[in-house]
Amino acid sequence: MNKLEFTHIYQTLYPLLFRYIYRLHRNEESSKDICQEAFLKLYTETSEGKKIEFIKSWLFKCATNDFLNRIKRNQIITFEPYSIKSEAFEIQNPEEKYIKTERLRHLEYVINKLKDNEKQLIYLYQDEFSYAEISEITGIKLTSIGKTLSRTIKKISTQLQNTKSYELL
Amino acid sequence: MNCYNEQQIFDFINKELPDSDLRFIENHLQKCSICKDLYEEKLEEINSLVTSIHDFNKSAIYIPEFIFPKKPQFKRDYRFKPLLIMSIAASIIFIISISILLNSTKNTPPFDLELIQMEQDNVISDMNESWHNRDLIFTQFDEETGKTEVFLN
Repeated sequence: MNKLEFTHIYQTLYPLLFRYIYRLHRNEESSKDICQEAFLKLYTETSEGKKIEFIKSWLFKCATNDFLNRIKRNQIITFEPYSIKSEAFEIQNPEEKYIKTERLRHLEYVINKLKDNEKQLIYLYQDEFSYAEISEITGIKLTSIGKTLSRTIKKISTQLQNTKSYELL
Repeated sequence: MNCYNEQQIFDFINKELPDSDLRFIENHLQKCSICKDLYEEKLEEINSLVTSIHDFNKSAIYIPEFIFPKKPQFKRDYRFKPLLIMSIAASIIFIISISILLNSTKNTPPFDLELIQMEQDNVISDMNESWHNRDLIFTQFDEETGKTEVFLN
């Protein structure tokens, strides 16, 4: 892989990878580090002549493993507040704005209560990865991906309905 | 008519079934109102969640410039370098000391062997002495009386 090809891949996949890692633990600095490490590893391995068939899955897997290792070694401080997309605040109607903000706070609360692997599944699913790719990245059996995803979505929906506003305070 | 369960509908929405199954379910959904309702409910649930999560996205992600390494990086593990040096030094010292020990033992007379030799000589001389000082005993059997007589030399 030459530098031009690599730069194109970097420009395309960096935002996706950063967003995925950032949402897992919400720490901007360490997300940048993890992404840089993953891309550096990709460049090094391809320069050495290693052929990587599915670059996107490979990068996500590499970054996920790095993230989990850092968590194990307590190298990551988590829980910066979410920076909610500005579109949510572009709504002029105050009532609508309130409803949307509340919904996002509810969702944030519910997602925070999920297990790490459930979070990974949901975010990868939202990024439109196939079951096979999710299985490769997370290491969960391919046959279990559909069931676990379906169960997690159900869990989130149920908890969203059952969570009361005072619990968010 | 066989209806489909939640999991099958979920996999159908995600198009994670074989093509033939996808066609079957698609046909079935046109005929069965129960499955159609389940399908719409699941679709709504998924879409609502996915769009909401999408709102968590950072509005703008800054892409830092990638700095290419000058040379491809080769992994070298330097963690055991001091240990390696120490083990090499220890083995050299061991070899030298063994060779010194062997040389020193080669020149000195075999003290242990001398002792063994002296002990053997002593034993032989003791045996010779006892042979010279031996007592001879003669015995004579009298057939008539049936008695045995013993004579010392």
